[in-house]
Amino acid sequence: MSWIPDRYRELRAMVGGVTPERDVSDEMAHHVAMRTAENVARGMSPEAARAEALARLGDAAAYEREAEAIDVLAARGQRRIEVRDALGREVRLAVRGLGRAPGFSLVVLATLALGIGAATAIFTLLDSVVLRPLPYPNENRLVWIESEVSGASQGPWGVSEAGYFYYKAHAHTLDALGAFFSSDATVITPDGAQALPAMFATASVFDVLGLRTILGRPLRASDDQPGEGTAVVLSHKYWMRAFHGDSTVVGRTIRLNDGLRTVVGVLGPGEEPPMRSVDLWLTLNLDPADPPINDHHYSAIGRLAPGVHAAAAQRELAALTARFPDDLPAAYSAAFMRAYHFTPGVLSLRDRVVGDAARGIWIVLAAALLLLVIACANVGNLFLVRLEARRRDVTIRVAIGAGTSHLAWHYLTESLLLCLAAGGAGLLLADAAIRALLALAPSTLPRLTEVHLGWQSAACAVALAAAAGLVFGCLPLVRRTVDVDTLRDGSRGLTASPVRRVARGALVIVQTALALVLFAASGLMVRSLLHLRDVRPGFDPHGVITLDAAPSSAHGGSYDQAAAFWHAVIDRVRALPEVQSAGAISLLPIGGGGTCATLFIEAHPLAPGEDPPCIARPLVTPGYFETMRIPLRGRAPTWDEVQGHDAGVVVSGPLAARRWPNEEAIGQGLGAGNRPPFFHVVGIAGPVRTEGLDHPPTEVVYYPIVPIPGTGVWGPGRSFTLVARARTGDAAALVQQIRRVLRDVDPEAPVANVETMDEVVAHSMARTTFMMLLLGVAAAMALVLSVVGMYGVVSYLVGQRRGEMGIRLALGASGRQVTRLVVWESARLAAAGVFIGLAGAVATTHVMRSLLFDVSPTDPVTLGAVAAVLLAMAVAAAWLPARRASRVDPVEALRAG
Amino acid sequence: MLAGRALERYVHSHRNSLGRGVVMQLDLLRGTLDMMVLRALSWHPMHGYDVARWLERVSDDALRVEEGSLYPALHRLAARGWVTGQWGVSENNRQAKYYTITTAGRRQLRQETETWAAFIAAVAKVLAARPA
Repeated sequence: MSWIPDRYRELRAMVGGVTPERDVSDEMAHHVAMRTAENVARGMSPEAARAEALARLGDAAAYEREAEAIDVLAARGQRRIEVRDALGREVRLAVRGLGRAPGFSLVVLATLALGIGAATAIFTLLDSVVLRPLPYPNENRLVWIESEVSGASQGPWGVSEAGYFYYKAHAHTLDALGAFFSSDATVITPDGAQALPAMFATASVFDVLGLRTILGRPLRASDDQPGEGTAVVLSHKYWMRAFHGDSTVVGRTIRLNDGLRTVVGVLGPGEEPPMRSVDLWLTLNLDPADPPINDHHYSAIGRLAPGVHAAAAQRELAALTARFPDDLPAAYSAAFMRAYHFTPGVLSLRDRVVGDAARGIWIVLAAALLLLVIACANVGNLFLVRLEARRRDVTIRVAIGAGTSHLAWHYLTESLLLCLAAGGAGLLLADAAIRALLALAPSTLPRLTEVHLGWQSAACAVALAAAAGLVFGCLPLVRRTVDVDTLRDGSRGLTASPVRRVARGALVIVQTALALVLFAASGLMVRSLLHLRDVRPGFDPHGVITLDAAPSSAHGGSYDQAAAFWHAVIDRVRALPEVQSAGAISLLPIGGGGTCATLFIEAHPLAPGEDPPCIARPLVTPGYFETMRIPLRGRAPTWDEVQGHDAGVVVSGPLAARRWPNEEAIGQGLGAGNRPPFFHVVGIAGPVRTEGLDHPPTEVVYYPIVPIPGTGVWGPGRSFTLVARARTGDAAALVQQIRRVLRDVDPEAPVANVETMDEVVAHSMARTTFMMLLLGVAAAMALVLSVVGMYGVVSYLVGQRRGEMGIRLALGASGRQVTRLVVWESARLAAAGVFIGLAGAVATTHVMRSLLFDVSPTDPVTLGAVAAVLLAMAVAAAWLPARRASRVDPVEALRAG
Repeated sequence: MLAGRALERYVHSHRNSLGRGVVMQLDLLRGTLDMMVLRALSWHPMHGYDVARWLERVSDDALRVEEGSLYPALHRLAARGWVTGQWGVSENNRQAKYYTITTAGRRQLRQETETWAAFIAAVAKVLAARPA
């Protein structure tokens, strides 16, 4: 490393301050001495002579400073020119050198660009989705309030109306609190009815999120009074789409299916609620005077008071909630609180929005970084090979006097140049990759609209490239400077130096090990997806079209009206020649969500203090089970029974098996209330995975859309999903006809979410599919890179050992033996890599547990298959160069050596 | 020598207003000082004191620059590459820095002399003009 002090001095001279010669004072001293001498010669006294000389000089110090300043500036300019020239020279040299090895340059460029591109793209995704704050003022103080309840299958609960007012009145840790739910609102235009995503929110939500309008004003508390509810705020997107950015929109009215609304404001671009983008903001008009109900229908967001931690807010809200049985006894019994361990949780809004997407993205980032390391191992290998190839050349240069520092500088420039170019290419790749990611990403991935390649990503790419360039550029420095031995035996040696062989072998091992980890991760995702595909959802999705529809207020105000509407629609849809059957349900299975209701069984009264379970309660119409091909024992209610207020219920198989293990379920009575009348079970439906393919079939009570008298607690359903099965299997072809039927029955009935049931099922697997895709792409690249790396190393080693191979062949080894020797050595390297990789996989794949379905993170089948494939590929990669080795002509090889 | 004479004339005519000698401060005058130094060096290499003496002699002591200002001028010329400086031994055995004019310096001197002449001629014409 003797180059260091040398190089350091040069570097310092190049970039450091300039220290010109300080000779002005000497010049002036000379001047004064000369003048004084002359004055004395003219007869002045020495003192007077010197004084006169100094006077004629003027302000010597100032002139000295001026001259020195000029010198410093000049020296700096000179330096700049020198540095520029030197850099230009180095770069020209490097470009020429790289141009002489186009294969090397291109492979390095492509490999590194791939690695950097992948890492940058995924980093961008992580940064935009997980790391960056949400686009709200005081983002770090925004919290989400929800209650994890034990015993309910539907995930955490929101807040109830009573709870909202209670917290709002009593919580001191919260600055502001808002409640909302997002749903579709029906807008009636001359072109027909349209279901638009809407936010039904308290006015305080605007305050919590700090939303700003560009026209008019946000919703105010006065809009949100009970009994009001005529104001609407438009999103920027909807304003542009529906009103083409007309600035006179404020004050105009738009017609919803339940009346007119006046536009009071338009939000700025990008002012959106968390999670879901909406078109309309409507008021919730909650009434504090409403009787409290235990219905946790609303999502709640709050802003913490300054300096308050979320945990403190959680403690306070928990304490407040504990007072519910005393203050709100009508809705919250002590028994309820006990049974459900009902207590609110306060979590940061960002965590709630990002949710479990963070884990997946971190894992993919880890995969991308592994890929980058593999790419770097490949590139490092290529640099080593190139170095080896130039070893003789370099040694000669050093021997005839080339400065080590110049050589080092040259290598560094060359590698920096190449790596920075690769960084640039990687950035372009990342941009393309991000576009592809956004096109493929499941819509459930949060914050996708915020994803773009920013300066952070560019900085990340450049930093990676520069780091790689520095490391590779310094590789040649690890050796001694003048190595005369190289000259003496250089290319005459029969094998490469042992140190280098070990280094190269280590690179292959590392590469193989990392590729195995990646490959194993993607293998596990593939297995999960295959398992998910094999899961039978409990219905037959092929050939079924689904769409959400709702009667307008004129046709859907009561149970009877809703039933008449749906009866008419379903009968007419059914009458279409291409339709085999049709029905409707309040919530499609597979997507999860929905509400649950208490379940009381007539024959099994609860013990005192025992609480009823909360069971999913979709409302279905006749024709639903037939259309979805859900097997049914017994029967489903008919339209006559439904419209005659005499329909029974269908329960799911798991419910029947659990609630009546030793009895016939059909004919039993059940209900959501603890007293008669009870619904009679008329049929038992096959198990359905309502919560998603990766969840077990759930207990469900399918209620009719019109309840029997004395039981109607939910009101007539607002929106149902129509399902229709096509005779031909081409479900999408039915959409136009179904829309026409709906328009005929009710011209103002909105239609939304048109999807085939196959698509609904695919969406439920979207996250797994996406993860599999990302990890699969990373694994495929890793596989290609490591096979290429293996091939490159073996080719090189074989080339180095031509002489040895020649001798072996000359001494009588068969070609096959030589091939076997080479392949065997490569296989040993690969096997070592595979073993290390297996250990790594076993140690790390457990972080993927929550993403997997029905596969252990250390699934032996997957790991075994992956290891076998990787070994096989490695051997195959070694095979070609091995064959070449066996065909060496001994005479030629020995002579060339 | 046109330049020298013109300047002398100018300086003589302003003797009263300028006081004893001319205090070189303005950029224009600084430029002319550089030019005069170049001119001095165009004969043979000189050190700073030589240049001062030369100016004294050829301007008949009329042109009094503060002698210290010669040194920034010399360094300025060196920075532009018109002269080079080198330490040597002066006539009375002292260390002195000798400045030599370069080829670029000569070219510059020629060019500036022409520009100056043209300038003086133009100013002279204007001053000699009669009312039309």
